[in-house]
Amino acid sequence: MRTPAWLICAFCLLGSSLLAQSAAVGLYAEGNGLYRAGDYDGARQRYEAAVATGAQDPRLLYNLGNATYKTGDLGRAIVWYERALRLAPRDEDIQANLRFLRRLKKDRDPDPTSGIGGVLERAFMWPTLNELALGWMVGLLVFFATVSWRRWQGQTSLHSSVLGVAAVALLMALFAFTRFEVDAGRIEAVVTEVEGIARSGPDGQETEVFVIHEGTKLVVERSEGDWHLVRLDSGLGGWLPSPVITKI
Amino acid sequence: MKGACNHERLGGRFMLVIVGLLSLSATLQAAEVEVSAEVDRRRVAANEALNLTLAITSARQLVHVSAPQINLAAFDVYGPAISTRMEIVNRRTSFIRDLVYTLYAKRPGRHKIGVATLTIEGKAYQTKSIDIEVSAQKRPGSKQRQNSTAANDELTDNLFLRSQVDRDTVYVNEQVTASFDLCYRYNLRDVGFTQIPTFSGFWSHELFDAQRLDPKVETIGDRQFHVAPLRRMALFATRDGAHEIDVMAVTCAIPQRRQRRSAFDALSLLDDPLFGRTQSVMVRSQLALIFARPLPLSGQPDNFSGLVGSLRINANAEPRQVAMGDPVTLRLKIVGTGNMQSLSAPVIDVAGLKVYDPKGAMQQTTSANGRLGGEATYEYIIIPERGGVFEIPPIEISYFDPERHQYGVAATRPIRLVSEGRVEAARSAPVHDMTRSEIEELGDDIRHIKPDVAELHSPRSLYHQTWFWGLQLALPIGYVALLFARRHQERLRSDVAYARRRGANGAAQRRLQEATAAIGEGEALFFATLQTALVGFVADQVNEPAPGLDRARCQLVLAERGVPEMTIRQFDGLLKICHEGRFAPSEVSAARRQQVLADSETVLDELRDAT
Repeated sequence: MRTPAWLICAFCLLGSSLLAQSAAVGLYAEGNGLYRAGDYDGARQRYEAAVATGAQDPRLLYNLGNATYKTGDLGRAIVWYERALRLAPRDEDIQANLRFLRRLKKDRDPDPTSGIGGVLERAFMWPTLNELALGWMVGLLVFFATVSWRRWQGQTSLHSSVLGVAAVALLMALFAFTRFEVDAGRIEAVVTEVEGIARSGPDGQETEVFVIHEGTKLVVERSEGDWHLVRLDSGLGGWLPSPVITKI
Repeated sequence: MKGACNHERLGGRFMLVIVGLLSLSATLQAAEVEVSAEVDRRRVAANEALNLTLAITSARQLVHVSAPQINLAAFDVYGPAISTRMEIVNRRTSFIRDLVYTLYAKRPGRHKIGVATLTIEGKAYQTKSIDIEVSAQKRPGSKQRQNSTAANDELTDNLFLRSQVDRDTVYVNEQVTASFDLCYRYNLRDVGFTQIPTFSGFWSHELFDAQRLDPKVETIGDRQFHVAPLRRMALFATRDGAHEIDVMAVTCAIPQRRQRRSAFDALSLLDDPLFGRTQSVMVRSQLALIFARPLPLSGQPDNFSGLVGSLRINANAEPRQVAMGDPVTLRLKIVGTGNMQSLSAPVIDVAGLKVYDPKGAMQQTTSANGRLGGEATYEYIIIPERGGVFEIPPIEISYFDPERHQYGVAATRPIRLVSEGRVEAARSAPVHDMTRSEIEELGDDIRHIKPDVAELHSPRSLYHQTWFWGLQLALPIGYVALLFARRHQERLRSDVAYARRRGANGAAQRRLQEATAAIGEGEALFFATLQTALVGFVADQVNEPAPGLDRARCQLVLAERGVPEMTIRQFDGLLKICHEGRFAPSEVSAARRQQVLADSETVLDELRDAT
């Protein structure tokens, strides 16, 4: 009996994945050892190699952010922390270090929105996309389970429990889709050069609009060639060349 | 000779005519543009409006006229209002442009409206100066003048701008309140400020500024006036000596009542205040003088805050016991009267405590009698740099009390703080270079790395997983399947024919298995069991009792259900074999029984497909 080709491919993929996983764990541990010994450059290289294997663990990205900061690269450290925060938005260590680095950078961020608007915004961004997807799925499961149970019992009328569960499931679905749309449609980046000059158009000869410094987070609205139209939280917009920013 | 004389005379006359024509032409040219100035009156009261009209007359329409240069230093000037008109007199057309200025004399006396100079098409024109006599009160003279004077007296008596100060002698930085009220006995219209005092020499704070006239009736002298407050200011002299409070000027329009000349005038709309003529009037307040006394030098504290008024102060620190390096918030509240804006945050300096610049807020208040005051709050962040017990000494602010004519000191109680930590260790941290807002959130360094792990996760988005979307699809499909299952069950319970038909296969299979088991038994038993299986299947399919189904009936019902003829014949053949086996045993071999059993299974399969 011959083993199917797809099964061999699947085993190969699984094997290579496990090997990469194992290599990433090893590099991560090596990086930690070097970091503790004060060799931040070495640690950074190991962490970056671990990331290159495809590992995207928030702990790895966080440690890479630490090593990057310790080597004096403030902007890229913020990029790694931001990436880690997307995967673990409630990790206190990531939040604290990101807050620390934001204080060190030259450009000041606007004050966070206060009042009800700020609370709603934070609540909107609190769960991860996976948590929202799970919530949506559980809501759907509970809804179908409730409806099926009632139908099996021979009850065909719309009971308030069904309506309630349907409303919750619908809200979860709406919440998840809205967040997905917001996250998918928003390309964020961080200034990773010491200074960048934003211009009124995608050309080095255009008028200078503002000067931005390392570590500042911004939103990329669109791109043309090697230039990106970026917008700051304050509403200021301008074109920056590609090397100045790194997308999160 | 005589002829020569005649020729000379004729030549002389001709020359005279030529010269005359040339001079006439020159006169016409010169008269092409004329500029004149005139006033509507030469004697006015100080608060009366005077109209100055500059008329530019030209034979053709002028495209551009430059602004006239005119010395009107003795007047407040409004305008000019410009109008143009065309006149045709004796077939001569002229264009007249009027520039009308409204003037108010700044003070009584004899004033001169200066020469007006303007350039038209490169040529300069000048008017004559005009003398004006401005009276403060009464003006002696003719009957007409006497009428005018009486009218002016009436105006002055019934309309004036009152300026008042609540005190004329104060200390430097002590409040004096200046009020400006418009007092009138007319129906006023179009009231507007034309001059607002600058209050130089004072720090000023506006207590009231009228957006519209809101008069109250007040008796002044022996007559009732409408008194409308216009402005109220709290003033604090910034240096000692005499200070003038400038004049405020207001213009307004007073409706004029016409004298009736005929019975028809009584019906005239012009007497209506809305449609009638108005007189434009300017009223000015009187100059007020304030004398600011210097603060006494004797007894003046070294740390005198400069505030003249009264003060109360209290402080509160939370928490009082902290770990070394943890922040303590000290809140200072200062309540007082006077110019609180002149206060600055007190300095707190205690060895071993790092005190950050305070965050301050000031809320200004005004009492019912217009006295300015306020409440200042300062919030300090204090960080103990070492362990031990610290005492923040009383925080003092000195002020001058103008009622008691002496200095006073408002002070807090001493505050004791306990810092837990090494007494000798001073904390050298870059945190001290940060601003106050940063201190609360910023530590010394970034947090440490995450520890080693046995496994690194690479979270994948559920949105990109096939199983996630498959489950979303499976849920409604499962629900539909559930609906079918439920329906099937209900039908099994309620529809016997359906239940028998659905169970026919299972029952036939069971019976065939029984027949298989009976192959080795007696011949009659085997064929009886097989016949039961065959007939039972048909009975279940057509929902009829099995005992009532003989071979003929079986053929009939199978034919009714469209079973192929061949299958019916095979079925009937099998029934016949079974019948013979049961009732006329002939020692059929096991192989033959097996063959009949296999044929039966095949026929049942065909029947199942056919029905």
